[in-house]
Amino acid sequence: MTPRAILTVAAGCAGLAGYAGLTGCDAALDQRLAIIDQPRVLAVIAEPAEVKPGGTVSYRAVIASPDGPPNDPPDDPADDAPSWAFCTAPKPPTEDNSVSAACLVAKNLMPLGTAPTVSAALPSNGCLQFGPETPPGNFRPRDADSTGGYYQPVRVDAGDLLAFGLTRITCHLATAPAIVAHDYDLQYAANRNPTLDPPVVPGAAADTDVTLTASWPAEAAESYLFYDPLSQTLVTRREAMRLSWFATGGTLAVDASAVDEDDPATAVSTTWHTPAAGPATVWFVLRDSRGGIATQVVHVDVAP
Amino acid sequence: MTWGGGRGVLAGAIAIAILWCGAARADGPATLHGTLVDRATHQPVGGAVVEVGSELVASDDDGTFAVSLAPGSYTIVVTAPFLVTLRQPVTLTGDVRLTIEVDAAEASTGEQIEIIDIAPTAPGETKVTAKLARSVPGGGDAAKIVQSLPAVARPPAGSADIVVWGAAPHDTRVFVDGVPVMALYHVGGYRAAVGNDLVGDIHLTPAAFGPDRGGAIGGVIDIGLADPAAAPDWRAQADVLDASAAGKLKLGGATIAAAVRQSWLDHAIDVVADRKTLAPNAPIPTWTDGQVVVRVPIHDDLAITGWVLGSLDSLDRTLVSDDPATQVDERTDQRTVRAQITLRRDRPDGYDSATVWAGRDHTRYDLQVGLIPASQRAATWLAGARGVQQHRLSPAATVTYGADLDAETAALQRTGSLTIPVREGDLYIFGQPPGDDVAADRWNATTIDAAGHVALDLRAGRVTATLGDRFDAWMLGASRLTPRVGALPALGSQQLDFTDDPRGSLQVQLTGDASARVDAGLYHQAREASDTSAVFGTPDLGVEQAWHVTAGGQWRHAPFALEAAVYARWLDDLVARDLAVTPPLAQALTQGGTGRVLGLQVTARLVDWNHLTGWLSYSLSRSTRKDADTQPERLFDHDQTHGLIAVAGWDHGPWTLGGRLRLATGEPRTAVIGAFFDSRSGRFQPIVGPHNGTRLPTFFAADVRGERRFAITGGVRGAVYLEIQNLTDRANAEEIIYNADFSQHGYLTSLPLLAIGGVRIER
Repeated sequence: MTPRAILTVAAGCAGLAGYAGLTGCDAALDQRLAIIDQPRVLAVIAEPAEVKPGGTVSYRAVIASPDGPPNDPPDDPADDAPSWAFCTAPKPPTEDNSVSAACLVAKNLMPLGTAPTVSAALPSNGCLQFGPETPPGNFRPRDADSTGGYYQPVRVDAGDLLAFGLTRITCHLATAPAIVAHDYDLQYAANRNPTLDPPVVPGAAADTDVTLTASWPAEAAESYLFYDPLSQTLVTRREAMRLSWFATGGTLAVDASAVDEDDPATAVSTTWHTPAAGPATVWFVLRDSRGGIATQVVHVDVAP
Repeated sequence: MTWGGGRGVLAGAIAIAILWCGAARADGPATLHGTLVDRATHQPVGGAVVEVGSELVASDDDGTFAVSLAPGSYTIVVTAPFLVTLRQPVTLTGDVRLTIEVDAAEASTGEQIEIIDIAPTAPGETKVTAKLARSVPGGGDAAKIVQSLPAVARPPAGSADIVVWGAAPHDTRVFVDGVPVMALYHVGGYRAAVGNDLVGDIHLTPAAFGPDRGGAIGGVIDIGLADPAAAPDWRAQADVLDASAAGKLKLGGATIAAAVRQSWLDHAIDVVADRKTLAPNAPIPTWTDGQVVVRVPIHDDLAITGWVLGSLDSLDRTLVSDDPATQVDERTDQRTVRAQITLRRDRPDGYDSATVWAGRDHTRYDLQVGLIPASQRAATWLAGARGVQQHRLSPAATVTYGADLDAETAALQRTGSLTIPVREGDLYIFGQPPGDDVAADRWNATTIDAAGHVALDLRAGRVTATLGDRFDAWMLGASRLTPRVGALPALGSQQLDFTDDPRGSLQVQLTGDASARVDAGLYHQAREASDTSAVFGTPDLGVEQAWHVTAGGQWRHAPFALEAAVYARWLDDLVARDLAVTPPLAQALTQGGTGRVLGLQVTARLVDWNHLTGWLSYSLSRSTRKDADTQPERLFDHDQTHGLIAVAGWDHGPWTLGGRLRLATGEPRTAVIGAFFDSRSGRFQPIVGPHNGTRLPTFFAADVRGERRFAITGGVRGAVYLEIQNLTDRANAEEIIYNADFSQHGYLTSLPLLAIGGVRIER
């Protein structure tokens, strides 16, 4: 028997049948967020998207419900308004979440008020608490995110909903050579929120496939200066974009569509399988990789 | 890797060469018919364990035994608690009849009694032959038996980790003929990285090992390569997982044996299923390994043995997602090679052995979760030398002493989150993307361990004592004490540590069948090179420490043995995360970790009773850690309170049947008790409960294996085998998984009923 014959015998043996049923994952657990089946925060938008510590920022939350945007327009601006607070607790580097578990404790919160939108000055020690600056005594600088950014957390409590927004703060480079850090300070441009072109959802009949398209101006995906810690040089990168799709009914082909930073595309599409006839709402949430956010909402009357 | 790639072609060429070499030798099998008799009384001696080559049998009441092997030169090893261990060379050509005289233990020479398989020399210690190991479910791979041994925790599916008596996987060191290797198993844990065809025996010491081994604060696994003369002329094997070939060749006085194995599981999967669909549940790696062993007898009592082991691993998997932010791309590459030469001389009063070895390891791990990257690469040169001498000073005293040198220099590069890769003790929620705060570093690390050791075995009546000591000098270096800043020259770290580890044992032969024994010792191991980054770790980490104490009793009445053991480990100076919000610069890791392991184990064994060999073992264990004095004690990530394992192998005529039952407490996990929405990622993030405050459900699996051998022609033998894993098709939980907003949870389950069939031919 030749080696080739042996391989053939083995490949055809009954053992292969055992592999046919290799599906042990619990499929009942829904990993999708696209269909709004309960009230949910879709985004916390800071304007401007990036400031230096101490700068003033206004915040608003984009909240969705199965009936569309809640109280849209609001009967009373204070009705069901979210509560806002800055978290003052930095995150240990050993935690994987975007904010510290201590941000769940009241003593680490700086209340900003209860209103649909709030404006507040960021704590002036943001680069020390959340950025690369360290207290006296030779401590480890915090790590930036993959775009070189540091973020001030802001907590939003809207009824039973708990969310955190993260405002990008402009800090000096702490671990770069002095000349590189100087160049960075001179040349770095703070992030701006992207903009979304007004989407058009074609008239749709119930239980049909509709193509949803979201587009944005080319300048929405900004170029920015990034410090590469391995080469210890500044490199220019372009923001990656990610568009999240939401609808109050039907099904969406994907939860989100992405455009990589080296991809010049300025539009993405997906398929919405429409629900039964009646009013529906579709949200578009565009995020750039530096933390900027833009949203659009479209009300659709699904025809019978 | 593609099947038609260079590596596959190389493996095929080696396989064909091996088969051709093997075919050049066409002698038929030889049979040794032996009789054991007492040298003083000339009465037959039954119940002794006789090992010849890869064969292991017990002598019958009339002292007789028989083994069939390929013609060649072997050493007969006769062991029993009531005998002085005897080693006698024999050359087999055709049928050989031999009467072997053995000495009762009362006339002991003081040499340490080595008891194979049936009664461990220390509590929990186990030695099994490759033949038995291959008969047990594990894909027919000899070293897979380690996962079924008493003292070894049930490994998670797809894991190559080995948890021995509550010790972290990297605390247990794996040696091949005394040479440390990177890992016992290939990536994914399907096969042993040290090969299969040339493995001789597997020896596990879960704790309190002797002073001749160092660099581990857990246990020690010794894989002994077989005498190449004992290998078949040639052998080819193929099943669903992989194909292998082995053979041997005699060149003058030298015997050369070689083996090679190439996986094709990925291609087999493609025939019946979509690999991407399986990726979350079962990693589908590719692997290749090869071994060459050469033995050259210089004189009757002097031989040179050399070998080269090589292993290649690769794992690519993409977990597709409806949201690009949670799509996972993962790639693992491991390449390792070891080579060694040993010169051994056996003397009437002991032996001399000298070994030099060298190796090269290359590991690469790349992970991309959405936009968050992580990678870790290491290229390591290793070398070492080992010398041992044993002298029988008197009938009641034997001294063994030696020196070890292990050295490695590693070039490392790492980018990504501090928490990738996950360390023992990390708050880890399965499926959660790593932190998006990333860093990068490139550095070198050096680890040199020069050690001397001595052990004195003393016997007085029923009492045997071993007094030993190991003295290590550790030279630990890292290229940078602080993170890189521009072109500033690096200020490196060099430290010299000395450790003195007393180790000893005391054994009392209570009756002819029963004995009690206590072992204790101090153990040290160097920090890992990957922990010495000034960005991700701490450059000037030192050595970790553990005290081991084991105590147990054995009752043996051939062919049965019963052993009870209690064990304790106290771990100190463990490398652990600094959990501070702002750790000191270049000190992301500390040596403030401590740990404690307490447990008991009861094992019943059976050797060659009506051709049946096996064991039933129950263990009760609690393993805890503290990452710092200020932190609460928590369960060890792989703590397993209860473990029950039953293994049996029956070998008779053309049939070999094996079975395995495993029941084990689920591993600790940290529960998710809530969640919040993270606006920047657009995903929910978990709010966790107490660290390791819950557990996975209990694991249970039954596996069986059957093999039928048959003669083909001209001395060529064939065999077909079928192994069924998870016979009850139980959906064992391997991880807790959650829905997108963490409001519901379920389990990622292990493989369902799985059949592995294959064929083997050999001469």
